[in-house]
Amino acid sequence: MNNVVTFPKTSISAARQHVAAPFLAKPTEHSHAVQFYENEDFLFDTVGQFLGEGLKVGDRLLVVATEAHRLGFVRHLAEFDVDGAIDSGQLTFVDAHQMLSKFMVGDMPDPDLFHDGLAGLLAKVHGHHAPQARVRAYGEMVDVLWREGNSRAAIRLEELWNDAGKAHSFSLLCAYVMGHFYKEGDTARFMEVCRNHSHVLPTEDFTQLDDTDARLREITLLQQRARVLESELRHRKQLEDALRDALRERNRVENELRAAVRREQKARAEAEASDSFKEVFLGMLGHDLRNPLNTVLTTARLMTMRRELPPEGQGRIDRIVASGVRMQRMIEQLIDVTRARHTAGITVALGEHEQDLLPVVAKVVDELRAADSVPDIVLRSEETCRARIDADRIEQVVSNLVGNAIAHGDPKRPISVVLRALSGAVSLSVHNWGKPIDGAFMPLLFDPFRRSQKPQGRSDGLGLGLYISECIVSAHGGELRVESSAETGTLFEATLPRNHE
Amino acid sequence: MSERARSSDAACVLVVDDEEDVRETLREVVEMTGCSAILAANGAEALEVLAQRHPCLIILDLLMPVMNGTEFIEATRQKPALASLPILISTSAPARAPAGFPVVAKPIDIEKVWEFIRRCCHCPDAVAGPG
Repeated sequence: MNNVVTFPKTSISAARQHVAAPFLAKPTEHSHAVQFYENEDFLFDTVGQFLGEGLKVGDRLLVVATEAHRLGFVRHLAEFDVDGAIDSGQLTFVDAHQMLSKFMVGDMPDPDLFHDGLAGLLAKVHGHHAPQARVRAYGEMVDVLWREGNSRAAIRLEELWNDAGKAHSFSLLCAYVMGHFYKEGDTARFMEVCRNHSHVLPTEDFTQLDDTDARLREITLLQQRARVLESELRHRKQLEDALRDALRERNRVENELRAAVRREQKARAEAEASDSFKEVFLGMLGHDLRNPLNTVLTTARLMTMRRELPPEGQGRIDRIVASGVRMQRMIEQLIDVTRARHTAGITVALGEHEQDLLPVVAKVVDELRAADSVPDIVLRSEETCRARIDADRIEQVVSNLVGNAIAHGDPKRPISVVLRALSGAVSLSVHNWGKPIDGAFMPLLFDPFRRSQKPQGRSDGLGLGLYISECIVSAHGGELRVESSAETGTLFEATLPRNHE
Repeated sequence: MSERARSSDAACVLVVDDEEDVRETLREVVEMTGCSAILAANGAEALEVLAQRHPCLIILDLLMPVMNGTEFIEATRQKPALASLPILISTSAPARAPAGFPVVAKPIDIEKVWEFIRRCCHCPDAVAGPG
């Protein structure tokens, strides 16, 4: 958006009437005027008129200016005998920097030093010959200070000039380049400068217009331009606010993102800590809890072997051993379940080659047959069943399935354990007669810790056996399924692929 | 070490286990064969014993502080005088036992341990059990 009208620069010509020509020709006593300017040529022209008119009427002239400006003023006074005026004392040039150095203390003007210095200078300007003559002074020390970035000192110096104007009789003209006040926020200081002067003379753009109509047009255009600039400024401020809002929003989103990342890192650290807790827990079960139990069992067995106790004492030792063995199985189950649920799962170490399953199954069946009050267990292998297996883990499965059949089956009817060769797999099934598994309980059968009711008689574990068996069969790449009804009895069948990788 | 002490080591079993109860239980198991037992709480202590004694068998636990069973085996395999000493590993994690060594899982099968002792040592006057 750029609808600012660019104005044609008014050409500067000494021939055209200066709007302040009457003031420049005959300034009021005790006046303090300020001329704003864009180009130095215009300044030279204005100050040239101010001094030239003074030379004409015999006023005494004091010029406090920079060296460069002094040369410019002299150039514009070509029609006058400047050297003669200087020699006669009518025109006095003082270097602005030199005079500043006489009263500036630190970065502010010292009032006493200023007034003393000015009084001496004015006495010299008046001279002995013309004590009553009017004095015109031009000063640009304020402009020098402003250019140096010390606007506070410049405004203070204007005040000191005003004070001096009350004590001495002179007409003072000073000048500022308009460029000092172009920035937003300069308005307050610009107003302050204007307040410190009795006459304010606008820059050449306006000053050079010589008829009222042209000036009114110019004022109208200036007003329009000011409005356009104000509106442009408002629009830019709105854009800036929108941009700031967008930045704030982006920061907020970034902060949220960082917070989310931190939360995620914290959760991960907690999960890792929890994993390491599980490791510690597993180690505790695996080592710390098993060791004392092992000692209990071994010591009890030693006592049995040494026949240290009478028969009733031996019965108690047997109970210690039986309970210890049950506890031992529970610990093994807990270790397996913890592994299966929290670490890499139950792992199986498959043998290098296929092996016959019959000896593996037979070993477990024989051990179970040895116990008291166990129903008949019939083991049948219809053909040689070979597969790559982890023999220890398969023993665990057989022990669990047959153990369940003993615990829950009809004690008066035999349990069948059958091995069959399938295409690419072997099947191991365990069947018992008796009350079937409750249909509502079937879906929960392989869930850990979800036993529907306490099994009859003594429990050999925590009801985790089927869950663990299922994990072991799955780890072999196989499946464990169950069928149960009053008519056909209960059948668990594990199918193991022959070449699971 | 006197000749007498050396000859008596032919009926001496070194038991290495960090748990005192386990050591004491194994001492009983060993002594029931008529052999004597020397006890050490870890691999480092066992090496100190071996600097002076020459048992006929070492019953070795695996998980122990200071020097574990595997480190102990490595140390003995580097010493010619000890390299051929029979070692029976007794552990609750048989799957993690180094290959090539006989293993009894804890809780130990007492008969199996007796069988090893009888095979490796000259057991005098058995008090009970094996015979």
